[in-house]
Amino acid sequence: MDYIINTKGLSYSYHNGQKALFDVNIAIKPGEKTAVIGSNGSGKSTLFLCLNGINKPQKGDVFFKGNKIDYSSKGLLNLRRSVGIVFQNPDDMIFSSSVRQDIAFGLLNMGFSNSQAEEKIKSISKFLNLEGLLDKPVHELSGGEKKRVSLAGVMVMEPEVIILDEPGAYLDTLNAKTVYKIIDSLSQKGKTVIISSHNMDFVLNWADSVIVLKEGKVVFNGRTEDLFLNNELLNFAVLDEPQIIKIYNMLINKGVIEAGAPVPKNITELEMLIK
Amino acid sequence: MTKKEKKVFLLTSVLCLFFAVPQKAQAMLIMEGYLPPKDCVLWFVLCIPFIAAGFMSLKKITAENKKALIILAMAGAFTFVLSSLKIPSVTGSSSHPTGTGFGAVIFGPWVMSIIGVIVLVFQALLLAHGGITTLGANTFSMAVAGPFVSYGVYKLCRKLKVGKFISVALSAGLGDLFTYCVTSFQLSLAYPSPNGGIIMSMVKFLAIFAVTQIPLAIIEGIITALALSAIEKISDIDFDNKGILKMEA
Amino acid sequence: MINSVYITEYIKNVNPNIKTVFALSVILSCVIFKEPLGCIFAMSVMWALIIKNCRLSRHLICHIVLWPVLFIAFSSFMVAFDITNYKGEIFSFKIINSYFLTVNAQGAKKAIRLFFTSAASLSSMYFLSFTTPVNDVVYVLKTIKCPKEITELFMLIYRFIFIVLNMAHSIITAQNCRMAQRTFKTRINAMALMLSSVFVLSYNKSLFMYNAMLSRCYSGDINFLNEKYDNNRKHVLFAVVVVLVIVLISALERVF
Repeated sequence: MDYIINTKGLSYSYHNGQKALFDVNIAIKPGEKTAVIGSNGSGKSTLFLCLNGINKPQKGDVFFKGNKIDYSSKGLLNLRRSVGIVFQNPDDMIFSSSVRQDIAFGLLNMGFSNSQAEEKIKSISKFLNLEGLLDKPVHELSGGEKKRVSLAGVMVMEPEVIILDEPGAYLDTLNAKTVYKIIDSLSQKGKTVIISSHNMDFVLNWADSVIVLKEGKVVFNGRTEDLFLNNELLNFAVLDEPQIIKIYNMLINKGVIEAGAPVPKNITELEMLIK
Repeated sequence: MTKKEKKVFLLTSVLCLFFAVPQKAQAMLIMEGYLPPKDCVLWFVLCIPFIAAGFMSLKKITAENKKALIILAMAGAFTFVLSSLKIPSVTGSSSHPTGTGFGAVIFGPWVMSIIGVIVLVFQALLLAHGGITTLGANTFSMAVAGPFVSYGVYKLCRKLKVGKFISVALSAGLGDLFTYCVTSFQLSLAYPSPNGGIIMSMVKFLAIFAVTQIPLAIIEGIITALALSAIEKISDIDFDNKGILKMEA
Repeated sequence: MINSVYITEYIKNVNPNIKTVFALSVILSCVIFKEPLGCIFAMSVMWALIIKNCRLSRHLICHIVLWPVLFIAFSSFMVAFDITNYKGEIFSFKIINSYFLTVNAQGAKKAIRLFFTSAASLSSMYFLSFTTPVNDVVYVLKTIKCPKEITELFMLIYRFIFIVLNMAHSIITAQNCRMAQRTFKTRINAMALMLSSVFVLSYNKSLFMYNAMLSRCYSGDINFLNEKYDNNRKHVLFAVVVVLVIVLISALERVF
């Protein structure tokens, strides 16, 4: 099977010797929607930084399209054209004086000319509703606007894989919903999307597969339904059950729906089950 | 009120305003338009060798380590914020630290001269402190003289086996004091007394600034030393006297 | 801060090189000639341009504009004073023995000229600061072929100032909620702790920022998008006329 990104025996320690990842083996197919979940400090962000070459593992390998990552400057530049990452805190990503300059940063680094960059910026700002903000200083943006700018800066580079570290962090409900819609649209365009999230309902509804990390080790790698029906594993990994699954289990116990009925991923599917 | 009492009252009020207003407004920066053109040019020219050396140092550091530019930019932002914060003063009011001691001890004086110029430009553009024609003079006092004296005092103290806390406190305090002495000299050079020349004028400026600047320098020294010792305790930043960070571990 | 002022589209699109050269020329004319009438004319033109093209809040006027102007007034006043061994023409106060604190006509004249020169220069600087966002200053630096390390550092410092300021203000607020301002000793301690925390947080943030830049194919050079501005000859003509009028008024004032 062809994987777009996979790791074999990946182990990583911080410069102070603290171990962050132990023998991580994951494999993600092209176009797949993968959620990496785990409690704080489980190694999710560290894993993401390994996938785009920022962190070089002490042991094991990371593969992109079957090829081992080349850690030379040229190799890393090529990798980062194809694997984009959006950090949790937009203030960690936005460093130019205006929105337009910040979105252009990646494009100009890739060698696009000014006019080509302007065209792409116009297109992505229309898609992400940033048209009126292009000349605004970055520090005047709200949290939601900053998040969309940080997304724009990566999406405009059109990577094949987009990694989003806790995309809903620092956002109110409305802005989080907007970001989740954008993530959906990325998947619909055929991009391979990897996210980390603490929102289990979103993970259940959106992800095709889920990887669970606990203290730097992979404790589960498979379908979302298989994870969320396994209470023992959820307790072990210190994860919460999605509300939909809680209601599903309750309805099975009360005999409203048959045991073994397909696991609903959202309210709509649950409603159909009940009917 | 007798004529003498009126004069004393007027003088006291004027002196109170002298001490109160500088604290509110300017720290030790010379305002835009304050210096005659020849003085502006003189101080610009005097800064050139230091800025040039600082630029060479910056280029060398960033060529060796690309991360350095980002760290130095953050240091510049930190220096700007430090110089715009209010520190408590024994006179009851508050004023702004120079921030030169802090930066010089950690990053060294050469790179601080470049960072200092950029911070001064931002102070002029964002806070209307200082100016563009007086940039040369302000750079010389705050980005060259202050950091070099701070760094020199620190290195000397460490060579004499003085404890780190005292070394940092002395370097920051003396750096601040030296900055204010240089500023006083710059103003007295521009506005010499018709009677006593530059010296009498300098005595006048030093005397007026001394009341606020001496306690400020002492407090800045103490705060800088406390802050740096806290940094060493709470962080794992490697102060190795090589690369970007010059403070010894 | 000054950068948060709203400015009209018209002034935003004027070439920043023209605005910078105009402001600096006015400052230089005032500083070279130091004639009050010329400076008053310069001040009037600058403030007319500022009021027409910028929306200034009362808070900004009080904190950013008023205090520097007051400082100039009192500093100029200070220049008028002198320590002499004779009584002054306008004011005398005996300090000790035969020394007096005096104000003479020459000193007073110097103080007045200094006040107007500084006020006019400050007005020009306000014009530049209010109408030229930092992005445009980067454009000016590129035009004068400033080394790229300086330009990059300039842009990064600008962005980071707001991040570090936010950190500092959050920590100060949190400290004040826990009675950090109670005594002089607690204030010193709180400030030292705040500075150390902000330094460490800033240092760590710079490392995150570096990773973010690497993720977007940063290879050591920060490339800037070329901005487009309105290169209208009328702007240049206006600037030249204003400066010439300042010089003419100053020259006539000097002669008469």
